[in-house]
Amino acid sequence: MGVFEQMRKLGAGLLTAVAAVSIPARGGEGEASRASAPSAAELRFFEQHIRPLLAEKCYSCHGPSKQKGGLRLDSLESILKGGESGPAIVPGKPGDSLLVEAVRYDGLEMPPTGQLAPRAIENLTRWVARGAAWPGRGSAADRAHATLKAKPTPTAAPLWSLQPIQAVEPPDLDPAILDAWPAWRSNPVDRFLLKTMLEHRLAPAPEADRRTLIRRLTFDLTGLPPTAAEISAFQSDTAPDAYERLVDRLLASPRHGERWGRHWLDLVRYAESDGYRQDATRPDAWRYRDYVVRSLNADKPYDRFLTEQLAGDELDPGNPELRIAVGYLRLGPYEYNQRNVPGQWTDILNDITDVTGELALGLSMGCARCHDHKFDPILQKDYYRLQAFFAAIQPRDDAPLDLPALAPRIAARRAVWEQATRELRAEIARIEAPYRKRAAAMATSKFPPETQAILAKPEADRSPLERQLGALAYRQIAFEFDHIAGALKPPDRARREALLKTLARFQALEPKTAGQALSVADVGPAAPPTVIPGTRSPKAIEPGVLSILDSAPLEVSALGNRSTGRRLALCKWLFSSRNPLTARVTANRLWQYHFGRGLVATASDFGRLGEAPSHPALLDWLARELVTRGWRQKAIHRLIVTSAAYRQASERTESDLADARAIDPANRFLWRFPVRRLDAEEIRDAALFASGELDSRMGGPSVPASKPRRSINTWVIRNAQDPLLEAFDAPSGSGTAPNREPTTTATQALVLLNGAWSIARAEALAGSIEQNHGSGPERIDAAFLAALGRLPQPGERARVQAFFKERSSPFDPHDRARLQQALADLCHVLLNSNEFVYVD
Amino acid sequence: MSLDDDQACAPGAPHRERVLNRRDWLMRAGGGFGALALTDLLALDAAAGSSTTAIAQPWRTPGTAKSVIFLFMEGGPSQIDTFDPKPELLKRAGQPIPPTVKRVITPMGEFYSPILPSRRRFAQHGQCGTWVSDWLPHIAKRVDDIAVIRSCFTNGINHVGGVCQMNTGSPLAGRPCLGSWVHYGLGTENQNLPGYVVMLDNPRATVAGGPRNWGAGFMPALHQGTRIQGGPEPIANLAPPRGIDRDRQRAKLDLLADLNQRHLESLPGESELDARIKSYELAFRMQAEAPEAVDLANESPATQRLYGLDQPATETTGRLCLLARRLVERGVRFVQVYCGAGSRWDAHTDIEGNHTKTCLAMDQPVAGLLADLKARGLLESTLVVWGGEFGRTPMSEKGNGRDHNPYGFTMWMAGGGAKPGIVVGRTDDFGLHAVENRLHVHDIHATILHLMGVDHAKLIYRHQGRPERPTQNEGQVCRDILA
Repeated sequence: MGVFEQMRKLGAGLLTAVAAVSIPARGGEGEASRASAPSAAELRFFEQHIRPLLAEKCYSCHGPSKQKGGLRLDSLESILKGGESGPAIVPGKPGDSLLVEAVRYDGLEMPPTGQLAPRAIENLTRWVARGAAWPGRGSAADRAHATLKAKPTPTAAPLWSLQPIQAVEPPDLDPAILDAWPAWRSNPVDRFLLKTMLEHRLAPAPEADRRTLIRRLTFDLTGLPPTAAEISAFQSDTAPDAYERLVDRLLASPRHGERWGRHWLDLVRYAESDGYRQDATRPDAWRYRDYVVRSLNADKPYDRFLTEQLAGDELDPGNPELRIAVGYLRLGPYEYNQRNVPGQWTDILNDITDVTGELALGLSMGCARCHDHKFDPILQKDYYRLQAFFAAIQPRDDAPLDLPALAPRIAARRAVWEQATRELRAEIARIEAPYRKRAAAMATSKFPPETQAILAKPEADRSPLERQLGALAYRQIAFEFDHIAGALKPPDRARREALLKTLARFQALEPKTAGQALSVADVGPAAPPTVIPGTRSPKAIEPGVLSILDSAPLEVSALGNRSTGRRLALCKWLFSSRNPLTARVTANRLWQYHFGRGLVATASDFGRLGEAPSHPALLDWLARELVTRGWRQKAIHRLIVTSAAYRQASERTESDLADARAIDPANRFLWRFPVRRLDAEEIRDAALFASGELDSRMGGPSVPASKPRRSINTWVIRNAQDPLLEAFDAPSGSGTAPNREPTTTATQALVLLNGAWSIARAEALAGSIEQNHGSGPERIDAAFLAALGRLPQPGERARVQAFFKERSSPFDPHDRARLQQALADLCHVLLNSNEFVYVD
Repeated sequence: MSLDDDQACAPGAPHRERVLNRRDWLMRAGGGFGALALTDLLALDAAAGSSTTAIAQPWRTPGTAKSVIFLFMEGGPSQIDTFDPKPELLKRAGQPIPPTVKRVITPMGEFYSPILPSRRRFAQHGQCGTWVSDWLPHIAKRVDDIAVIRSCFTNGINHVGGVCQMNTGSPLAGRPCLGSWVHYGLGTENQNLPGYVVMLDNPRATVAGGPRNWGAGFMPALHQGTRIQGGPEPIANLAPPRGIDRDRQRAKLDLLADLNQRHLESLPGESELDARIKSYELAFRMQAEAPEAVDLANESPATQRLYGLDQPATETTGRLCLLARRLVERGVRFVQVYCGAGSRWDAHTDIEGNHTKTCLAMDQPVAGLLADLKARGLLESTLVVWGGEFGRTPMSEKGNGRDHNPYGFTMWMAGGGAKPGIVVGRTDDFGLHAVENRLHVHDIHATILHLMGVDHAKLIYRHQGRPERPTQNEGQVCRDILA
């Protein structure tokens, strides 16, 4: 019986018994859809041409901070009300509109700094002539928008994601429904999903077979396929909790952190090079990657995990692990010869603000960098309020990673080494001194005078900002020192080299240390002022959260005389009940990585331009569950992957498929499990796994992609991605990547079919099969088992046998070389097959 | 296709972020190098009875150019030694820039260095009388086809930022480049060749910032540029390695197709799986077709001479320019040729020695390209763009070189609807700041897109919920350049 028929038998009455889920209205839409509302095209015209023009040219005198002549131009109401000279415009009548007259320099001359471009005047006139469309015109939302600037209130714009997380209970379903789908009874997640499905007259798919389940689950939780032995063990495990035990085993596997760590690295735009011209590698960056993998394997609570990365140094300054964790703040690009030092510092802070906003809040904060967000209630000020939390950071490249207890021993040992090498080092310094002096002068002279002035100031006299800019500029001088050898005259160079050789003999005396990390600490207890660029009378912006959630500055207390405490304050707020975003965003991300699509499909945009949640109640329930369970992600993984929804088959009967597609073609309501292509790293790792070459050692300094280590341990160079990973849509590390964008291209086919790397995997697999199975027919079985984890179907076996026959020598069917070649070709075909690169 | 899926999609946005609907996967699973043009996709939608978008393509305008050849002088050619003569510099040789000139940051801190006048001789050429220096005698003969823009400016003061910005509009990495936007908006006319091709005159060099300069940024990778080289394997991995002959490859592909077909039967209606099967077929076809496109053997000796293939100094760039013409003829939408790849134009010292070589290497090939396109009637539909990531300072560096100048520099356009024989804009008396009819990179991009029939403000790609545009909501078409 097809599920649809089953539903019909249950009767439509059941469906009406299911209460409708109320989807939160999206802000202002109700009002805007009234008959008088301006058309979308008009609003677009306004947003594209008029609002930016007003913001750029007029707001500074007729906006939130100043209202010259009593006129304010940032809401339609205030424009219509006008200033001392009367209404600024008469909609539909540009000829009667003062604003139009003024920009035409017809009487009044506005803006006074110079007439607008003809195009801009034309646009403004057109806008007035067509009735002065303004979003949410005359609506409550418009009035709220006008007051938002003065005093934002949580009710000003009802964006769903900013509403408090609802305390929802899993829905009660009719017993008859639960009898029809008993597997959907026990997991609360399923009750939400089933209810929504039935409301849309959809029905779930049956459970997938065991081989499909273990392959799906193993890839999902570890990024690798199961072995043939694991598959058959699971297939023959008749215990009722066989699946749950499998889940626990995989969640406990160290491979789990390697897979889910990669998801995190996508979000934080992890890379191990500077980007830009030099694209210098960052030899210590891997420590952060290992920290992520370790944390996820240990099931570190998410609130702790993120706090360590944003404020580890403030949390526990002596803890080496946290020095690595705040390396999160060091992941952005760096340009080694950027002489515009303040400009580069601004870029660095903007980058951190953008990434953190999307990562933690799921909002495109970047839009508010230059103007109030056009669609979401994010003020420009809010962007800088968020940035202010990071304003005091000072990068450190040499944060020691030794336990504090070991410090005295290391220092003592270093003193011995220093004593023994004092003369040698002094001699080297003497040789280098004139060159260093020249190099420093040369590097300094390339900066503009303001930057040179900072460098000339003693450290103690510098303001916090000057300390930051000075340190950033000094990197360019240090760069010259690091390359001083090239500047030395031959005799000096020879002497220096000889001395360095002698110095190297003392290496045994040097203390062994745990190395160093790219880290961050605050520049001091006082932060440099954060100001909105381009404001005429800049006022320092205090750190704070979105004004609409809390317009007051966030309470911050400095940590002694070393740190501002700002970042720690941010983290406290992020994980407080006052913030409805982070829990939702995090729960949604977990869901997305399991199902390929989030309950909110735009995982880093919970604003109005993002998608509304497909299951709002489930999202809130899951977010609360995450908090209740102490932000432990493995608990949520377990909850999701043990659901009946997750265990559904991908395939449906043709008639079910046609019916369901007509209702929900995108499968938003999860009436089957979505088929997905493996991610780039999974494809690479699975090929190494199948060929038996995978070196599963964990972590450590990165290796080239030519080595058979898991992809997460290979170099991520911003300007030179591995061609295989790049072809299969791995992110390049230039921006936060909330989801992969799977494409299907001929380039991929070429890389996998003709690329030397993939052929080498096939040959390795063929070699090992040959060794273990000789040249008999069982080689075919072995190849299928290794690549696909199953035996060939009879039809497939016959087809492959024909292939072998065709490929064998017509003169000598036992020609060894030809047979070897055919086997390698078979293996290569399997590694290229759809079944290999897709999971269902 | 569901109505629901399109509701969140701004009208006019041709694309949604997630693979949610049929149009979307067609975009991503275009299979070939050429994604299906948006036009085709929308036509498919219309044919399928979709009520959502009909066939509206609000970003399309009646363009004049079908293809672009962007000749990228990487490293930053000097405007004051080529197209923008500044007699004032002669009078002030050896003096500092006067204090009335707005102070700027240059990467080597040369603002206060003495003025270095050009040692070139300038003359007016053609009917139009455009000034060109004696470094470019061949291009000088084509000025009646050229619109010189003397008032370009940009933001990136260093190479990586500058090259990135000239390609993507932003000095910071991560956005799609112009070629990707064009490919996204217009597709390509030859499914068996990449729609967006990039060539370097030195295959071992790295363009500042690397391959991300032709990357698709936040767009699907199929919109990225493809590196092409001459020779039997113009595209990476195009041919199987030595030892795998055509028959063996065919046998493998047949087996693969069979196994994939059986797999597809277990998951009926999975269009992505089907697209992947087709992508292998296409790869096999391209293997046959692409080498022909890049084979110059059939070009007449006269044509080869026109591009300077007979002289060692011009042979390399000549080949690439001739290849560019062949690709455009075959429907490739966007061709980028890096002349001086690896910042060869970057004359911090010895501008004379440096530019004598770099100008010589490209002058005749570029002039030959213009002449050849015109003779074949292709110039009308092919927009040729010439320029670097920035220009160079009038102030000297190390006595005889010039520092980077993003504040005012020259580019030019020819064909494809650009007005021939004109000079647009002006720099100050020193050639430092663009002062009249200033064209930011966004304006240049807007103008190129306009000529190609794309409204830069209406071409939208939705990324993380935001409507992204090629010119980042800025940029104005420079009407003076339009014929």
